Amino acid sequence: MSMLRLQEVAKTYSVKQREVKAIEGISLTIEAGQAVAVQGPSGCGKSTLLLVCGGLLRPTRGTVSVAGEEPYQMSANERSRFRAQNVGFVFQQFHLVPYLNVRQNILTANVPNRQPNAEERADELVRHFGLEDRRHHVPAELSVGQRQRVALARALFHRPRLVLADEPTGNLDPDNAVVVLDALRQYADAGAAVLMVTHDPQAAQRAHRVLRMEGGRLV
Amino acid sequence: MSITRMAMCEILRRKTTFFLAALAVAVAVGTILTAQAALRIYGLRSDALLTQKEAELEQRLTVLQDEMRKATLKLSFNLVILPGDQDVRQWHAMDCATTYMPEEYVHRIAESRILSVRHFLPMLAQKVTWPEQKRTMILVGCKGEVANMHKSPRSPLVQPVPDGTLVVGHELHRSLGLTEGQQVELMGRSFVIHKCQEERGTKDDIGVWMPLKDAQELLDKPDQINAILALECLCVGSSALARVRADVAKILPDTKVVEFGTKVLARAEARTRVGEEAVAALERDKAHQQALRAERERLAAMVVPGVIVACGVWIFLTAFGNARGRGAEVAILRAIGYRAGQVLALFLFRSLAGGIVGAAVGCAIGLAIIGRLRGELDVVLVGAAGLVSWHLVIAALVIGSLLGVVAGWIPALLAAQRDPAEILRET
Repeated sequence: MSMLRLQEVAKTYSVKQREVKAIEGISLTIEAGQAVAVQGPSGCGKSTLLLVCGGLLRPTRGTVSVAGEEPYQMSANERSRFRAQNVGFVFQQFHLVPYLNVRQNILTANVPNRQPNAEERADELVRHFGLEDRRHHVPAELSVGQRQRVALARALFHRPRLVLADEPTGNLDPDNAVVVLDALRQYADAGAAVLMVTHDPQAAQRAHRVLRMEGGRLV
Repeated sequence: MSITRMAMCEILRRKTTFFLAALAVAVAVGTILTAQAALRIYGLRSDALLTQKEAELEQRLTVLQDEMRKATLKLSFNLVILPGDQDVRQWHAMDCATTYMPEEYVHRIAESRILSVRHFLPMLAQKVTWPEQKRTMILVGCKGEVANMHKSPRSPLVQPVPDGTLVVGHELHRSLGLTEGQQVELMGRSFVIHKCQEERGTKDDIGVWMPLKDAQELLDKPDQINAILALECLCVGSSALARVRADVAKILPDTKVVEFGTKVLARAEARTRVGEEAVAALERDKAHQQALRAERERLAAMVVPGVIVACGVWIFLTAFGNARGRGAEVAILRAIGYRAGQVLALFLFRSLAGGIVGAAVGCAIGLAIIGRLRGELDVVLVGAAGLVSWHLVIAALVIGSLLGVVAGWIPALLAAQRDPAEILRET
């Protein structure tokens, strides 16, 4: 089953009345159980591709299908709900909520998509990522590796079918990078789809498939 | 985890900005309450001042009226009712009437419902020689006041001379060496001098007063009088005498009324004018106080909304700064599925909490100030309302809470509507 399908997707930005093509003619399919890495130079459109796939950035052209549904055919609220149920995000900058502790940050994913046993699920993730002794610490009190593990735990909280990771190891030391990449690979192996854009060779090694992107196109 | 819990955590984590917003609301609410209380205090003080002035004025007018009464008494009579056949020129020449009328007349007029005269004094006066002393005197028999039955009873204007006694005019007792308590003979009868009058500079200085009954016996005029003094005529104005004359003529047709009181009336009118002027001054004071009160209310009507608007701007700026600084947080929350409404609620809860806490603190501070002002107020407050009503306190709480929400609304809306993709690309 294809978890992510892009057909001739293009995204053009208007910058000072000038059109800039971020991505152009992207067609891509990721099946369930696959981890795909996208590599390419800075500014080639990798992050834009990720946002388009995640239902956050409407493409100028083409269709996007996630788990068989087209998020851009939905209303804004429906799309939010769809993201909450089906898509997990991991960013290089972690983007944790600074005033919430580890456990609370993980539980933020439960607000838009309530599920039973949320507390147990959060505790399970805390244990899984080795954050037991940091569960009541706020992000400022964590190491960068711990922060990324918290971000990953939040992304996986509601067991999304698609995980999108933007340079997930960009700020991590090799040991922490391995932990994060292994977790993503394991999650893909469990039946989900993972798409990560990265410069990290380790990430490419752990992916089932590596795609190269240049000038907004997959090459 | 819930939106409310998240908002509470955020508030606890960023106490300073929350405190600043709550402080702004507290200032606004405190201003509303204290401004209202200040206006009420001013009103109470003005009322107390006016009440005090009114009381003073009333007291002054009472004194003036009393002085007027005394002045009337001292100067002479307002009116004298003489027998109808009395020649007024002769009355003037002899210092007393030479014709007589029944004593019953005074009772008739007193029992009539005449409104314009307050006191009636019957008298029998005659210029005679004091045979034992060989001195000319005006013998006056008087009975004191015969009450006007229609009026409320009052103390008599002139105290009657006690039985068996005399009141002696100044010139007589001085020249004859008479003293109070001394026994004297008068026209073959023995009397005790009850009182020696002080000098008046009038014919009274050669007067001798005795009970009417005694005078009637001595002068052989049983049940006869030759004048009724009508004192303290109530009506004032150019037609006063005509009115009294008309009133008396209806009851005692065979009498004539002579006016004594031009000077008295002038003085009475002057005093009335003084009284009127005092009342007018009080009215001017009232109007002035009302104008000042209205001016203060106008000022409060400008200052209070001004403070509320300033506080609203202050809250807006703190909320705006808060929302701006939380762009990445909003972006990730939107990315993981938060709807715009949920993000809006997250920010608005913060504003609402700031409004409620600020309003409560503002009310507490405002009421504390009001309590202190009330303690210093030298006016007794009547009823439970006090300086501000509970309705106003509740309204201030609601206004304060709404102020927080309204002022934080736009920043919250801007935050909720920001494009998460744009923020995530930038970061």
